Amino acid sequence: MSFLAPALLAALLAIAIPIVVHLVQRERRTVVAFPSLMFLRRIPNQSVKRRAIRHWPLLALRILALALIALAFARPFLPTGALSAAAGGARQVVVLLDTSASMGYAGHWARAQEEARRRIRSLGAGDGAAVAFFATDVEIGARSEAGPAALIGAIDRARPGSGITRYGPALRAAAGLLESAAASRREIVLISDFQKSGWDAAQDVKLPAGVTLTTVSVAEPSTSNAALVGLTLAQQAGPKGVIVSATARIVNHAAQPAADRAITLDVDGHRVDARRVALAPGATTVAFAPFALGGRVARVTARLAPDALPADDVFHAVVTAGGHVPVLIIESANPSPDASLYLMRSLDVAAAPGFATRLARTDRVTPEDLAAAAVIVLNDARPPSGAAGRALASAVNAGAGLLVVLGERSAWAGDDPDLLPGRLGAPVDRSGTSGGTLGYVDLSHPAFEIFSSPRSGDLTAARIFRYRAITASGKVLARFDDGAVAVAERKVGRGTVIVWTSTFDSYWNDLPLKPVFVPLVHQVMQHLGRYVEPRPWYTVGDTYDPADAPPVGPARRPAADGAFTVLAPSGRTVEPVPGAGTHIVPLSEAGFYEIRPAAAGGDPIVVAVNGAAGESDLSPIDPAELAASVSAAAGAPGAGTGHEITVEEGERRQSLWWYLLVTGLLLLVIEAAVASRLPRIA
Amino acid sequence: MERRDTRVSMRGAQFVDPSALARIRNLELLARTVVDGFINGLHRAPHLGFSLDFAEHRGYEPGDDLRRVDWRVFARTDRYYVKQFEADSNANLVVALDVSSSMRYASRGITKLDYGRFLAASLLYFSHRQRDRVGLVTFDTEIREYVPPSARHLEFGLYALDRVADGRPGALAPPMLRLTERLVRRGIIVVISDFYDAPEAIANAVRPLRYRGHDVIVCHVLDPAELDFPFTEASSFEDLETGDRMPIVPASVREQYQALVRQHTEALGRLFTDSRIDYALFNTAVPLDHALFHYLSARERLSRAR
Repeated sequence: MSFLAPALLAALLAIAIPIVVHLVQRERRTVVAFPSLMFLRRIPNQSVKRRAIRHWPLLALRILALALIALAFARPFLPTGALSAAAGGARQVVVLLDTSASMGYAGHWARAQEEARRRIRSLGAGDGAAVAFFATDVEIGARSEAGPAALIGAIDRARPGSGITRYGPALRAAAGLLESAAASRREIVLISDFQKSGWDAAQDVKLPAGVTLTTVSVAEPSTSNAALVGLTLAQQAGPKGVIVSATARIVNHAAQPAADRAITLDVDGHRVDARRVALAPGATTVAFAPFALGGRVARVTARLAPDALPADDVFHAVVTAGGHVPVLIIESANPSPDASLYLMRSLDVAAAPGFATRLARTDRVTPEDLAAAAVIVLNDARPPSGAAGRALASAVNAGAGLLVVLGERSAWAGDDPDLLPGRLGAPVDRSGTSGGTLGYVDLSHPAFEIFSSPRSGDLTAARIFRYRAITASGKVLARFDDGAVAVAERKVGRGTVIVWTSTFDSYWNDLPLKPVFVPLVHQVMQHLGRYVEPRPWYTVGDTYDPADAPPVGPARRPAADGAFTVLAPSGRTVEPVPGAGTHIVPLSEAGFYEIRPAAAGGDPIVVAVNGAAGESDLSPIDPAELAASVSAAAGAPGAGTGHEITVEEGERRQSLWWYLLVTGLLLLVIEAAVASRLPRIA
Repeated sequence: MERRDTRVSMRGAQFVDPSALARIRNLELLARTVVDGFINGLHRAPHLGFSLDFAEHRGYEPGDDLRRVDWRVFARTDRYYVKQFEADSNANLVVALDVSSSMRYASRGITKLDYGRFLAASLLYFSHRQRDRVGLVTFDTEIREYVPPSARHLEFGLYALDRVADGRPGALAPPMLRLTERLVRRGIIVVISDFYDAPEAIANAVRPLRYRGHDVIVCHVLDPAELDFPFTEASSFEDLETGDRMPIVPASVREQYQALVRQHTEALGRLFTDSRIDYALFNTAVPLDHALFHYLSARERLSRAR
């Protein structure tokens, strides 16, 4: 005989109640108050054997009744004969094994493996099974078609990775595996530490009817964990180069402070600082000694002395020197004396990013000069002709930015590259009046966005005395107060062309003398150069687009055709995933990824990846709560046929409790009748 | 179970049932009911115990009782004079009432404490009518209330009796010692208690009062159930003072219990008599006038002895 609720057998202790009542309660019932027991105490042998049980049949009735009721609540059933056969039937089991980073905590993984092996070994001859590993993604480890040994082998080979716990996709995938199964009983066994951060009730995951979910928690009752969750890298230009100050942020998830722990900082594999830190509950920051940035890019790693979960005790980051966007300024063959003075001065003072400025004459510029520039400024000059002209068009099509500054020397012939966002007209002189101003500016454009806030710069303060009329064919970003085009933009290939219809000297306008000039130039150059502030690190689960790499240093942007190789921190090669017009790299491991352009040499692009901070918080969710929220309602329409049979057989097995309960209650009635007829004992 | 002590019943006396008295809430009215009824029943000596002394003569006035004319003075002076008397008010009466927890017991009718209160109230009223100074002491392990003896303290005494506090375990010796120290002037002291202690200890506690020259009357109040132990069912008996419980089969201990109580009362009577202390055992089922009669008999005897 087996019991559905064996814990309720503890209620058998209730059979002691009649005895206790007999010996204790009966005595309490007849208490006689008396002034003093002085005389009674002097009488020897005053008490009698009241504790002797006189009515054994009555006591036996009571005990038997209580025992039967207790057994009834334990829900006994007899798994014999046909019942046993009906209860069986083929099973299809999907063992979902959590391989997220948090499973590396202490003995979580060992317990999970052992539990998974036990589940596989308990399968019958006709049962089917599959083992799936899940974290950020779901991976089918093995199926029972390959034999139980393959399932066990897959479990043995699996290791917790850097992934993030996500129960929703895992359960959906498991349900998908069971959809086509013909077995009468379909079951998902979810083995995990049941991190609260892994469950999002809003995902609304529901298992199909007939699929049961069995949860197995391997989490330890109490956990303590401290994790490195951030690294701030502040750069400061010094006489000997860039000085970087690193500050690590540590979160102690335990309620008690942790003892002093060692923390180190490595830069490009060299130890630059080591400290000890006391970790109070909550967040703690540690400031390291500043270090000088040798190259343009450095790999920075902070390491906390390992605890029960070592995966989150390491934090990687990449520090990139401010860099310089290469800018080529092309002047006319006979430029005015200070045609590029204000432009170059304003570019020179930029810091992050800086601008590497080169000056060239339009008749002497070479295709190499043009190919090396991220931004080309055609400052009051005709576009170069010949090979240089073609190189200009090619560079812009490949992604370089072109800023056309119009003046009296500007001209754009028909055989010049088709880059200008409009058709060039004659100069317009407004010096007879007090000059024009900017009347409209598209402040939503990235080049002007910084001026959108109140008191962030007055673009209308500049007086415009002359400008070149242009019939815009591209997007107009700014107009003068007379409606003429001031700034227009055009996309050419992957590049961008912006035209400013007046000069950058102080003759046609006084814009260079206004405070807004320098930030305006910086913003326009960053926009044209497609400059993106480099991210020091990514998180596991993110994707990386190599096109986002900063256009600085020897590491150039890979070509858009995806001709690059990606090396994961584990050393394996990662295949980029084709995206919209580019290829993206999925980041699934913690550490440093290296992205090497296939054709060109030079240093690779380095991307730092860290595990999700949520994996460090080991607070569990109640597995029953998760199971209840994903399981189909009992008796829901559409439940599988095999499941209905199982329920009927289960009910039949459990009907024994009903007879026991009725018999117990009948015995209690008989006992009451017998007890009331017995004479009270004098 | 209820029994009348026929030895003390008096012809013509009006017996007042203690249970009926319990329905009279006012102690003064109760005492008056008992005492007046008792005195009216004493045909033999309506002024028994009254102490009348000659005070002076005054001239006869019409309406004066002719029996009070002093004929000897008329014979000498040929004038009518009547004799005037002055009541004797030299005696002190102090009633010491045990209010411990054990006195709260009643198998039926009234508790021992109520019986003691009625008895005390009756004695105070009776003595007050005789111009005695009256006082009251209630005690358990210590003196709870003390009304010093005075001719005007009847109401105070009755009031103190009316608001007897919650009972606590009792002990006779400490309050008796304190009482001995307080009562300097000699008088009559009536001690009312159930005396649950060893006879020697009780006698030793009361004797100091006698040694100080007081006339001591001890009233031992017991419930009929304490005398007869009429219980039938095996039960846990709980001590009212200590809370201790003891499983008892009454049938098997009744005779031994009665014998022990009898030995106890006999020992008390013997010890008190040896110390010239008047001792009487009162059953709460017996009317109060028996107690009053006993008191007056004792007082008459004591007055003769003085």
